[in-house]
Amino acid sequence: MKDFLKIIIISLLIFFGIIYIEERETLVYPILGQVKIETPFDKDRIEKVVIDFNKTLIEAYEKGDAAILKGADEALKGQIDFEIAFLHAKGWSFVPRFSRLDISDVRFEDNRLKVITSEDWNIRIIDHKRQEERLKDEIYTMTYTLEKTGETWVITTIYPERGNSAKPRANG
Amino acid sequence: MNTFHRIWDFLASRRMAIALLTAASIYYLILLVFSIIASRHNADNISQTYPFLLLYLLFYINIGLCIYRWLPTLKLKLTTFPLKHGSISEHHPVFISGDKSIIVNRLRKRGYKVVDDSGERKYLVKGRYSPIGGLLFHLSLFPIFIGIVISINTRFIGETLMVDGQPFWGMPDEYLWSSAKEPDSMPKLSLSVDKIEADFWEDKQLFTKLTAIVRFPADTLKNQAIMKISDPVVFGDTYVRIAGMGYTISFEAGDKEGYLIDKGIVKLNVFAPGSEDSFSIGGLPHKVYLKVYPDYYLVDGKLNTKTFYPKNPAYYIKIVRGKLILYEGPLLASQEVKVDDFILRLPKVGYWGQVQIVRDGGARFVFAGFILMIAGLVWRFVWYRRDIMLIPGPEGGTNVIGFAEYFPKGFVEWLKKMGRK
Repeated sequence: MKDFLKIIIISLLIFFGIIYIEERETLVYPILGQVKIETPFDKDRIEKVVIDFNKTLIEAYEKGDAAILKGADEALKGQIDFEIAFLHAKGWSFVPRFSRLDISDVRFEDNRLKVITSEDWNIRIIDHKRQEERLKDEIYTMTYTLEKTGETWVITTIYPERGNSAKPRANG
Repeated sequence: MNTFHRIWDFLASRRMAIALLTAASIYYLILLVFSIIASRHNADNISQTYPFLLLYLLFYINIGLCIYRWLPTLKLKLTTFPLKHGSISEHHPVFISGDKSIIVNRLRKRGYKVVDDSGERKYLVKGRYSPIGGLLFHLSLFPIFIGIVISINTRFIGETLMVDGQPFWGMPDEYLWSSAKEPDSMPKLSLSVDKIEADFWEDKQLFTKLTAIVRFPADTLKNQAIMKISDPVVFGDTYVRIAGMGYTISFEAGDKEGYLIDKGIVKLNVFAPGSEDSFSIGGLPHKVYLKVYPDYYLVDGKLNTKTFYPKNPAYYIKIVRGKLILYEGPLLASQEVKVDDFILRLPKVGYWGQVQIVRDGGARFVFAGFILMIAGLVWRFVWYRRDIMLIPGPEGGTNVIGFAEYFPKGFVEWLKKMGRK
């Protein structure tokens, strides 16, 4: 009986010992609540990424060059480049300005950051073919998704939450 | 006794087996607690740590050595009659009036075989080889172990999304995700989906039916099968089953003159209704975000759905270019929306199926192991050994003494009953 108890005690000690060695940061510390998991991002730096992106976005529309975009991944740059080419083909110019950009929330979900902003934009749309110009004031709640590549966070998607709409019409 | 023999004895002992099983029970209870309070991923990690590997190793060493040490005893059991000579006479003999030969005939009809007919005593036995069932039970753990090792090292699991009429050739880029590190290690199979069908329980998000009629191989479509959630189609050692569904949206985008820019079917994660997903239109920088209401009706001007069947679809869509929301609002399947000089129509909603492909070379071994285990248990405990010794009794009668490995009282009752016939 004594041998039996010894075996049980030794095997439990081995078990917990190896769990402690291998899994202490991901499992043991959080369960014990002794160590708070370190925030994986610097909020100021994230805000700067988002603001720099929007500043260079204005420049990209003006110069017709998405390559100057800062803080965006290649796929997003490609999308904006495609949009600029589309506007150019239509004979449209797109001159956006933002008067306010407030970051309301930064959330860390599944190794991604979701940055929620509140933004006021004033957009001048010029139709060169029709010689028309119109102004659009937009108030957005934007969601930026950021992913970490190496040591830097880059924006992978942008998603506007509010805006104006046209009306649908019956088909045919 | 030297140290080697002590270790050998301990490794091959029942005490070791009990200690290991107790330790395993405690480990798995702890693991269960971890998997509840932490994530399953962490529990998986822990289950592959050294204490567990050591436990499995010791467990199999123990079984192997126990079997090795038990073989001479087993041989003796199969060749010894009666099995317990001492204890057999401890039973109260049952006196049966009648000649030995009559009783022998009765017992023969019930599957007993005469193993010793020398002298006045007769020995009969039934279930002589049942101890082999015990051996099979323990040996069955080895194919299970081999199967698990093969599974851990070669198991493939992957998922793809398929729609009606879509062929699948098993190419790496056709998978949504897979566990394969090398394309060569993917299963070689091809199939095509004919039709995906879903039924829901009382219009709740519970399937009463989710099936896909498939044809294979994809080039000839020669064979047909139905795959279900719980009933996969088997291709050799590869199992293909439908694991989930979602909605496909047919779209058409045309320019203002009516020429088609792009059309197609997109698989979106918009099930259950109210979930939002997006797709892009070829040749345009726009992104279409949408929610689908497959059988819509209006509640205070807002879209809702009566059922999950795509009978009368409507959408809540948002067309975005860059940061600009060009359109946001409801759209019926019969309607179209015009933005930036192009027209978008979403005429039809269908189903896509989430198809899971699993190749598990070890599953057959595990299955064979469990079959062997059940066979061994049944052999051991249903056809257990029963010995009968017949001794001449007074007045031409016969004293019958019996021994059964299990249920001895019941066996004596049975002997009495047999004697009355």
